[in-house]
Amino acid sequence: MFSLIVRRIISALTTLFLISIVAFILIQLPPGDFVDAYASKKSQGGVIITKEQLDAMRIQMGLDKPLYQQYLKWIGGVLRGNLGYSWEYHRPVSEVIGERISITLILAFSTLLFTYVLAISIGIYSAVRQYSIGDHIATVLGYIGLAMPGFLFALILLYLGQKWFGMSVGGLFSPEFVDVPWSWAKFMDMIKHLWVPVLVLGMAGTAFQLRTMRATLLDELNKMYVTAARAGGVPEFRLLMKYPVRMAINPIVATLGWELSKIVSGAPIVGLVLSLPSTGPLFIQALLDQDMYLAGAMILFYCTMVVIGTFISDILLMIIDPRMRFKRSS
Amino acid sequence: MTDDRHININGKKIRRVDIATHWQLMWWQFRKNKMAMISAGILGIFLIISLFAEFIAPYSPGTRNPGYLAAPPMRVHFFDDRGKFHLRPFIYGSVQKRDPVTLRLNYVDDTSKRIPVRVLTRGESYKLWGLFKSDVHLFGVDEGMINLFGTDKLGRDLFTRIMYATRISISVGAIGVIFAFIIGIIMGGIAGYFGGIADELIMRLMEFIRSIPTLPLWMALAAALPRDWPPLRVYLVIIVILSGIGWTTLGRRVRSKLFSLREEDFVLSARLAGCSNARIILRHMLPSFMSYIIVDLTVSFPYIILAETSLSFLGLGLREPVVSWGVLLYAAQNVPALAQMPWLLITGLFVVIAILAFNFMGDGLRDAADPLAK
Amino acid sequence: MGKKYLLNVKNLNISWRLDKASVPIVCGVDFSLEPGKVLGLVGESGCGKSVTALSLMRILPKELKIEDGEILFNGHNGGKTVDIAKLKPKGEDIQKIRGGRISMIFQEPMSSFSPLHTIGNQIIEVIEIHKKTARGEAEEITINLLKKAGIADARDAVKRYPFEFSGGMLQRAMIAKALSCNPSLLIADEPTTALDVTIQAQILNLMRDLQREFGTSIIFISHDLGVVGQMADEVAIMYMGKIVERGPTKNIFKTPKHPYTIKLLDAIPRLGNLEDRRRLEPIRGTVPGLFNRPPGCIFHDRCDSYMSGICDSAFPDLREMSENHFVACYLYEKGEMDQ
Repeated sequence: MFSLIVRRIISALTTLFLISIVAFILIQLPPGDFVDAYASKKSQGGVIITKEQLDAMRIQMGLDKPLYQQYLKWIGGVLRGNLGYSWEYHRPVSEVIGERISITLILAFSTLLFTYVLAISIGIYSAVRQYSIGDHIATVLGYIGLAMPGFLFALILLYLGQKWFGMSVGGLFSPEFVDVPWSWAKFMDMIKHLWVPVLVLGMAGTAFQLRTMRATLLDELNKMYVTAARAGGVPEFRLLMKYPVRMAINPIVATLGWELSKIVSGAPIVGLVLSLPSTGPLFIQALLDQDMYLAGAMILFYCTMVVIGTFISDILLMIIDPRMRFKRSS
Repeated sequence: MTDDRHININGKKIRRVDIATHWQLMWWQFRKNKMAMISAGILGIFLIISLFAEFIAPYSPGTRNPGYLAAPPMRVHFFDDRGKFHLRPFIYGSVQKRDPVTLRLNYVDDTSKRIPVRVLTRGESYKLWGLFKSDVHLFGVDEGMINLFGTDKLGRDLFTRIMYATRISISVGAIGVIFAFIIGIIMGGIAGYFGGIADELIMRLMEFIRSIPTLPLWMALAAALPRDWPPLRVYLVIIVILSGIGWTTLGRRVRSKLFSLREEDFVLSARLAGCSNARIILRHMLPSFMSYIIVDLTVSFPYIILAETSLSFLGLGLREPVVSWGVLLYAAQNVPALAQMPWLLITGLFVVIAILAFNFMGDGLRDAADPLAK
Repeated sequence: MGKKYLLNVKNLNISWRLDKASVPIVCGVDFSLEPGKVLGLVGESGCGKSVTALSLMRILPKELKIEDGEILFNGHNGGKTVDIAKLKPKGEDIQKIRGGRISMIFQEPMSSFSPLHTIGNQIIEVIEIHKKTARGEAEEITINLLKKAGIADARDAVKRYPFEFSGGMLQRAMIAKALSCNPSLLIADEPTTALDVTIQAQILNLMRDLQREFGTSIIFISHDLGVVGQMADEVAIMYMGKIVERGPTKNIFKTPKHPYTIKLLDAIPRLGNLEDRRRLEPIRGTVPGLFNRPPGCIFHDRCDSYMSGICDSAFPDLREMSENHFVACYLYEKGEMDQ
């Protein structure tokens, strides 16, 4: 088991290394470098910068060095917590994204929790009461949840909130809490606002995992070991929870990293629509401005989250499924 | 036993199931799934819209109705305000009124003015597929404009724009799926047929791509495109980006199927007969799992359509003057715009219906792909 | 009848409920079992013997329904008789019987244990439920049972998972689980079919030894008359959901009456047969599908002694040929009429 975990750690680190290269390539991708963009912006404002000044800027930023050296410099900085400089905000990237990262993390993990609690409980209900009215409703909602893009759902909620309550359901804080430091009251205020983005972000995932849960559980309910346990006199509810539900949860836990990846994917766009103080709107703005160090750092952050999620899901699976522990290691 | 289950050959009664081809069996199974059949019908309509957008839409996507800006959908009536029935449907003319409280412009039906809706009428001229010049439209009005789904801020007809957007979005999906299919076959083919190091590398690549959150990657790639590129190039490059990441599902399927087929006798006999590798893969192995590929293609459609819609919605994908569903929804991005023009969300309905239809059809095809399983 | 029965099944009818129709699976089965005896239930696959077994514990799949009949069970220590067919399938009463008074050994040991829980966990659970003992004590009982079932390192085995065992070992563990609460009735549904031949004999011996030690009654289900012959005191032959012949094992093997039983016996390879080079006689035709039950005697279309106009009219009643030996066949009714 220990060697399995070590192997997982190594593969996670390799993935992270590859991701850092991809992120760096993305940073380099737009034609011209930041200095060109800076110059053209200044010239639009009527300020003319000489070529010498531009070259001096390049040397100062190290943009004249070969690519691999720039990568090494960048990744070396990243490892020491220096994510580079945001030219748009004139501040280090780590400062710009600081607080927003914790909000994104809260958002992603609340969504994950919401998704799994809802998907598992409705999935159990749907499978046990197959073809009941509740099951049919869950199935229909599931299909719609899968087909509706998150941002569209967010738009509809925004519109309905505006029309029925005359208020915006966007944002994560009441106005009086936006610019004050963290406190218990502010935290509680956030919890109150959290359900809208969590609902929007979790809808598709819940629909998907619900379908998986229902299908697997229906399969498991007919398995021999369930009948055998029933023949041992185990009461129905305990039987359901201990045997088939435990089995049916495995594939759902196995896709945890992948689910997190979906949530992280949807977060920027939903964050923008609901104007959340998360990393999403910042990321989109950075992409639109081609503020690439900021964008690159954010991609690195998103991917790292997913890699960690996948790692956690692997470990969880080893804990709940003994067959995983014995795989290969024995 | 009813007789459509049997067939007479040389006077012998033979069960049709026993001599049906794989595709026939698949079709019989698929036909039984009502939702899948309805979805196939809906997708057929989407296809017709995409092919004949110029004919179905009464105007061109840029045409403005200057007297009807940011205005709600017009209602088509059969009964006038006195309850009198008219065989030819009509719309009312409209007058602008300023709301005394909000000071916002509203449009009110002018019941004194009935404008009949004409079918197959002449209007703006267009060139269908760039070839056939015509000015016949499915429907239209003689006076003013008809805006079935309302208009946007500039007074452009939303119905027209959705028809054109359907063409773009569906074609992005179709071309994207074809690209993904080609990449998937090549990569999966190399991995599954040759195995060894090639397989190892390609598998790692697929795993890597699958472990990255796709949308941020798509966004970053799309953001890197120069702003001054012509629309057609942006369109093609966006498709390449989407399929360049979306091919992994197909690649895996092709690889695993090739792996299991590699040891089959018919492949060995083809190899002994001197067929080239490409021929063995394309002519002998591929047809035997084509039905699974079709299922995967159907299921990948919505992913590509959704991705394009999301990118364009963010302003990172397609941009005006090209209209796609995402480009249309871009106008509905903020609360004030939504509050003023909720009908802009009709575009969203098209997105949801298209994706639902693809999902249902995918389910139906998946069940049908194994017609003898049950 | 003055005899004391442990189990008395009367006119048991089970059908498969479909959307539009219901298909009979078990049709009017009667049999009884005395305490401490072994009843063999024999028939080809699909004849309804497993369904009958599952119905005795009310663990039928939900598509199958008991339509009619009584399952009188007398295995409570208090001596009260309960009709299992009338109990609620999810109720407390039947849960006490399952695993406590009646227990079951299944055909495939590999799939009859949850792969996520240790063997010990799954046996201890049954003991805890029925005997209300503390966990430590239940574990000791389990270890002893496993030892008796022939698992050598029992103390270690309780902590292991099913996939670490072989099929034969798992079947031993399942026997231990089934006997853990001293049930009065043990149902063994093809307990050796999925095992290697050498292991089969070991398991059969184990079951016989434990049966003697615990004094448990057994319903032994198999498609293999030879195996049943070794185990059972009494044999019932089933065909398409009906018992066509039943009687003491000796009588069935020596003087089989029903044409189907005779055919079944002919199909068993025997050393004697091999020496005089007689060919094994397969039974003509195949079992008709569930949806095309032949009218009259269900076996008539495969029977060599088919009598037109009689055999296809109605199903013959079981009638007693000699003491406790019953057969359902017109051949023997005709004999009576001739007399």
